[in-house]
Amino acid sequence: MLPWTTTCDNVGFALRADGASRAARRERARTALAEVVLAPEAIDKFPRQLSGGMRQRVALARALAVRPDLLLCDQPFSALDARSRRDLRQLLCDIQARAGPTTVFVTHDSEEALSLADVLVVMAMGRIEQVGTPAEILSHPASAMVRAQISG
Amino acid sequence: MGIGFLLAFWEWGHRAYGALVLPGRDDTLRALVTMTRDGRVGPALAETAGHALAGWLGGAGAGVIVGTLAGLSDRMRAALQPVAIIFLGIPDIAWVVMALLWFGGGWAVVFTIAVATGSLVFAAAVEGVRSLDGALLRMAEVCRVPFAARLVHMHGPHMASHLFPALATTMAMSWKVAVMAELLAGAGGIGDGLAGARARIDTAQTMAWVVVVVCVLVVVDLGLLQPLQRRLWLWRDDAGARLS
Repeated sequence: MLPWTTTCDNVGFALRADGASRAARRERARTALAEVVLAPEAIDKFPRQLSGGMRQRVALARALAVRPDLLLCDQPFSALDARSRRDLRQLLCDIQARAGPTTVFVTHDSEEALSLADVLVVMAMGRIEQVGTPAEILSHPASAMVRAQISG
Repeated sequence: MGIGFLLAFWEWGHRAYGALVLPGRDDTLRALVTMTRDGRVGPALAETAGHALAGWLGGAGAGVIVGTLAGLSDRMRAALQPVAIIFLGIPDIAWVVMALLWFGGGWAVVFTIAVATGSLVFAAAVEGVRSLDGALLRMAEVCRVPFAARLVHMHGPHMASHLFPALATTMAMSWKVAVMAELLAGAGGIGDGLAGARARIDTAQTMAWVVVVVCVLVVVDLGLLQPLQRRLWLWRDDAGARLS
């Protein structure tokens, strides 16, 4: 996030490619921030005044605001505490349920992967070990490596 | 409290060593009032301010432009950084002597200030360009943020956080270098006033000129730099942000 800009303008910064007016950008930013359930009083705060979880919500709002076809989340919740991680995981599920973009979610947390994914790709040493739904992989792990990975 | 201690130390020095070595505060104040009434302070102040501002603008402007280019290009940085280090190592007084031979008069003062400030601002600009978070650059690229918007809203504020301390330091420095160069070059201004007071061994007037320079620096710091810094640094300062 741009540390010298408020939460709302941080999300609006990503919308500058559209050439929309400042008011229109702020409106879209507010909508995106509402979508990630950010407290309204945090909208005009600077990044350093937000908690880690709130910052991740803003980053998610910024990514969603540009209405992407594909969302790539590379271990987005790894630096957060367990409660924030759980809340954000649920939030991402809700957004997905509301016909959100196709999301590629990279994680080392097997519980996170199993709870979020429609399709799970288990990788080890840079190679794909197994592809399937969480249920398939849980019931029929392709190798000892996959079994070890999904058991945490 | 620090200022009170300094004034007390001044008074002690005056009493211990006499008025010729260190004039008292009242003598200094009287000399300052006389000089102001005679119409010497205003024009000298304006002349020194002109020299300092012209030199600072030239040096800082060149430092920002060249430093930005050096920050963007590894090749330019490799070529220019050793030059900046050499320039930083050359004492200001040496520049004054050479500039006197090259230009003489007021331009020698302006040149000396420009060279003295330029290399410092150059170093800050290079650091400002290079230290921008790569993740921010990638985010702007992914979101296809136009170049002008990146420059104004991303590179600009980030550069400002590195440049502002250097610009503030060099602004104060430009005053001190201006007075020193004027004194040696006889190029008018406060430095010339100091040279005249020295020639007459008038230590009260010498101290009065010093007081003028210090007052200008305090006014610039309190009236311009600190408010500007508070405004620019709002995003770093929780208390300031809450007040807004």
